[in-house]
Amino acid sequence: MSSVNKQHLDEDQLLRAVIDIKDLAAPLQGHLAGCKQCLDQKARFEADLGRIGKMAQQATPQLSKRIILPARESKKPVWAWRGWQGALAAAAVTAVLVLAIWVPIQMRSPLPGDSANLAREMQEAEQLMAEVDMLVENALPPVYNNISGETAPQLDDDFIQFLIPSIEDDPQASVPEMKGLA
Amino acid sequence: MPSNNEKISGSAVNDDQLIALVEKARDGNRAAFNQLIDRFQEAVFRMVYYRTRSHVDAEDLTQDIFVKAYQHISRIRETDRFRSWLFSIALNRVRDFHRKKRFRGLFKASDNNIDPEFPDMQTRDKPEALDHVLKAEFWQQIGLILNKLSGMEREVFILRFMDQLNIREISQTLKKSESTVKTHLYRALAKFKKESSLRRFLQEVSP
Repeated sequence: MSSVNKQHLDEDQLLRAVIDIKDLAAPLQGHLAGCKQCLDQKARFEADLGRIGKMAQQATPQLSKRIILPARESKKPVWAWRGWQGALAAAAVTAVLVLAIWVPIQMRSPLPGDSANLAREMQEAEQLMAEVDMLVENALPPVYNNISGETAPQLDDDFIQFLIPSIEDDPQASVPEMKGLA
Repeated sequence: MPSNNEKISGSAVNDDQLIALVEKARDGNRAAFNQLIDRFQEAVFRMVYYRTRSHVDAEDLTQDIFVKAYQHISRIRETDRFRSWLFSIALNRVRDFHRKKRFRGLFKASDNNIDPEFPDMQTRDKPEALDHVLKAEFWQQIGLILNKLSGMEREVFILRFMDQLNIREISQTLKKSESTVKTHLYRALAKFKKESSLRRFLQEVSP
């Protein structure tokens, strides 16, 4: 009997035997086949590893949900009625949403251009009213205002009376005929 | 423990029947795909649960995984690799889930759905409370070990000893060579062998 056969498997060889016995050299395989001590050692180690699998399986909960496959996809062509009808419906819904949101916004707040026009029109109206008021106060054109003295507010009624006394106040206003005239 | 050459699934599976179902499903047979769901949904759910530890998330992800598989089954070329193909989809989906969870965690407090480890006050005195405690202890112990493994070591360890895939299936699922898978598995086992507390716990609760 060779020395290899008498020597038991060391730890490295034992691990290799557990992983794959064919990875051991042939003499070592021969020894293992006939050595109760090595076989027991290998079996104990494999039993510990086997318990891991068994315990892991026991410690795992059960699958409670059924696996459901997706529905088979339709093989209809792209232009199938479902396709374009869906697109049309989506477009219609989008248009309704846009209108529903856009129209109320437009009604609440006027455009900036409209406000400018409105202001201009109001200003023109005010200007017109001011001119009307001026005509009501004094219909004479400005040129004649200077002659009429309306532009000189210090000329009051007393001064006018002094310049151009009225007929009732003039002492010579009673002579019926003018002398020298025949 | 399954040997390297045995194929393990959630239920007794005849390889020829499985291949026939996959071929029908690939050709658009919805009923055939539903049969595949019946055969693999528990295994996929467990796989996801081991990596999320949340019942709610695991169910949602399992649904997503089968929907995705259904959408892509027409592309499967090797019908005898359906299991590995399905688990590959599952692993990718779980990775996406964790990535998004980490990203969301940058912006808000964590919204973990992780199942509570210990029974609440209402179930504490019930007989099943002990069962809950043992399960919680198991997840705690296995978590301590898995945290000591690198990402790849952890993945091959879980696939091998919890999901119970063989080396070839792990290699196909992860799209790595078998030698790479064995290397990572060797390192994971070397670390596991040193964890006597878990081994004692397992021997006590599951003799």
